[in-house]
Amino acid sequence: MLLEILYRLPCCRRAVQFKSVSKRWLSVISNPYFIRRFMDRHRHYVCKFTHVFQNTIELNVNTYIRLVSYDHNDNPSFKFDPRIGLEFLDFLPVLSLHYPVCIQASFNDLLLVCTQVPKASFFEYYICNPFTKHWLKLPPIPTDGTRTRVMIGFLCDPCICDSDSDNDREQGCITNAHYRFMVVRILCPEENTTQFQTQLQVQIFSSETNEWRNSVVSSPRKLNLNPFMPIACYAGVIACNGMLHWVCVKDKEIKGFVVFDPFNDSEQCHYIHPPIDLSLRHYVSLGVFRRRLRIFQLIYAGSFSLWELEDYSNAGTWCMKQKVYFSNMDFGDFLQRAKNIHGLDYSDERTKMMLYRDMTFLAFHPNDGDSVFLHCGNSVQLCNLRTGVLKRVYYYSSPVRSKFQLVQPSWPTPVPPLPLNAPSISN
Amino acid sequence: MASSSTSVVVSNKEKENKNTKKVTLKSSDGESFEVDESVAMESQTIKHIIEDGHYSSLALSLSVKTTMASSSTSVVVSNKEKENKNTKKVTLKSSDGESFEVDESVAMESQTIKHIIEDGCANNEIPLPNVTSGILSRVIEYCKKHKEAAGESEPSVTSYTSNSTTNPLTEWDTEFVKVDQNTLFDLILAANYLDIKGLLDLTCKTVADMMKGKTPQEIRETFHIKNDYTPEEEAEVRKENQWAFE
Repeated sequence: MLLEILYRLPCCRRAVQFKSVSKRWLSVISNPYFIRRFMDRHRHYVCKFTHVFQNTIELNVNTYIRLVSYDHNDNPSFKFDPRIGLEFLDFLPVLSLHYPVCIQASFNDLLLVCTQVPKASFFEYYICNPFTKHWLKLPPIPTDGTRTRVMIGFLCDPCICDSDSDNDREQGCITNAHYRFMVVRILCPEENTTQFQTQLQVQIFSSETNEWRNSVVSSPRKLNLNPFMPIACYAGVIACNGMLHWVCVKDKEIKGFVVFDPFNDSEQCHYIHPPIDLSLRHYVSLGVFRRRLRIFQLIYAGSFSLWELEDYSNAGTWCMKQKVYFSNMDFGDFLQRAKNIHGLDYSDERTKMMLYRDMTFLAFHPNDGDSVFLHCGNSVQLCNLRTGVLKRVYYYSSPVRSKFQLVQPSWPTPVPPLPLNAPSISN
Repeated sequence: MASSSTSVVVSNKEKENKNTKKVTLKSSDGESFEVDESVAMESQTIKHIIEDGHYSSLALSLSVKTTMASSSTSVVVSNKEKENKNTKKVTLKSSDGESFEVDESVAMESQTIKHIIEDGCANNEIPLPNVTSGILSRVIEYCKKHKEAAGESEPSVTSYTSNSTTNPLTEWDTEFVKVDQNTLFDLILAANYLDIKGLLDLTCKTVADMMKGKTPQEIRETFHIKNDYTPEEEAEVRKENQWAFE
């Protein structure tokens, strides 16, 4: 009965506080079945999310991050306090030691943080949930002194739990309580980073084996798997549906996309075609919206376009979701402000083109499928691709070398994941 | 009652698309009421008129005003409707021996009772040893009300998780759960035992709403829960879940 009442609480914070009411309450609330019912009930929860900006892409003692958190109305809250560096992560004991550190990946509300004990020959990885401040440390991985560049993929795959009812099974068992994960380190090829590579050296950590191992990944189609080539590097390696995706480049053009599914096959990659109307010579950005892979392409003075992958089979089926032409976009007072600041005597069109030049993709809005966050010079803008309206969200002028979007589900993802065989609860 | 005699016209209309023959009764002050012929025939007077076949042109003098006419009509209508419905009844017996006779359709709001009936295990009485009479009567009240509402409109209107303010049941439900704590918990247990989804959802949500503004200590006080943690254990739980307390 307790379970029936508690999962109807409106937010997880209270429910977690009530763990301290009595031992019986603790056992009910900590049980994965409870979490599943809670998340199912809150299936239409509007997620809170946070942008994390980091000033580096590599291990650095001077790593610095800024956080911007959004409420349900997309109003940002953040502090300009320069002392906020890594206090966000200060629950990680290693940070107090001032080792070089770097956030390398994120998934929902989890971050993957890398650190290296100075002069030591191994890296240490931590998976943490900065909201609950729970973390776990992976076994160390030896460094290879020569290669410093890596691309990191952090894959979480929720386990479909054994469930009592067929109904649960059908609905896909919404829960983040049980999951398996992998950390994939894609090593940069030794010589020229823009070299055509039909094979990749990777190091994979699997939560199922609890160890790192080396693997060589190839593709039956003899594709160029190199994610360090300029167009591919810009888009990065994106985790979606338990698989990694990156751009496959050939002759300075986008050929398609590489799909690496280490949970099922850690030695072969798959391939998906690009969307028919994608411009193959322009840069793209990859991202995820509600567990679907998306492409965003910004063509200077042309258009913004958005595609979503509907189906992986038959080398992929894409659907164009939005396209807005540059000339139809409403820059609002961003335009006027730019003119005021720069003292420009330019026409609107010309000013727009200048602003456009500075725009880069930041993230897909986790709750609104039509909107994207763009970094525009010194500010972050929210662009609704359906209406073409640009709205300034906040100013941010420090250098951003890497960025992550943390999305908080209705129940915080446990770290480490809960064991599958939890004792059954009595009501 | 007015004494002036005026005409009451009884006309027979056969609607093509309906099976039930309808008649129209017109009161002294001109208001018309269309009713099923079978319903109208509850009135012997009208029955004779219809059977005699004089209705198309005969004017009846009935000294009735509209309100009287409509009320007697509606009484007639509702009686007939009740007769037309499946009025199979079942008897539910509470743990303290009291019997409640209810329409079978109302009782079947409870999945538990539904299965008992469908399995053919219900003779005349269904014993409910886990539910006292006080609670059972309330549960029956809930089921009746919700069954009525479902019958009057689309079945999909009564959605179990509906929180629409335009749903007229919402107000009734809110009043329904304004009871003391013990009664509320007994209702939860009964709803669970009897497997009545809507009632379970309503009662649990009510308790959850009561809880949401309270600290753990207030929860213990309100619901009389013993704190079985040692101070160290409690501090440990709080520390591990620090983030929720901030």
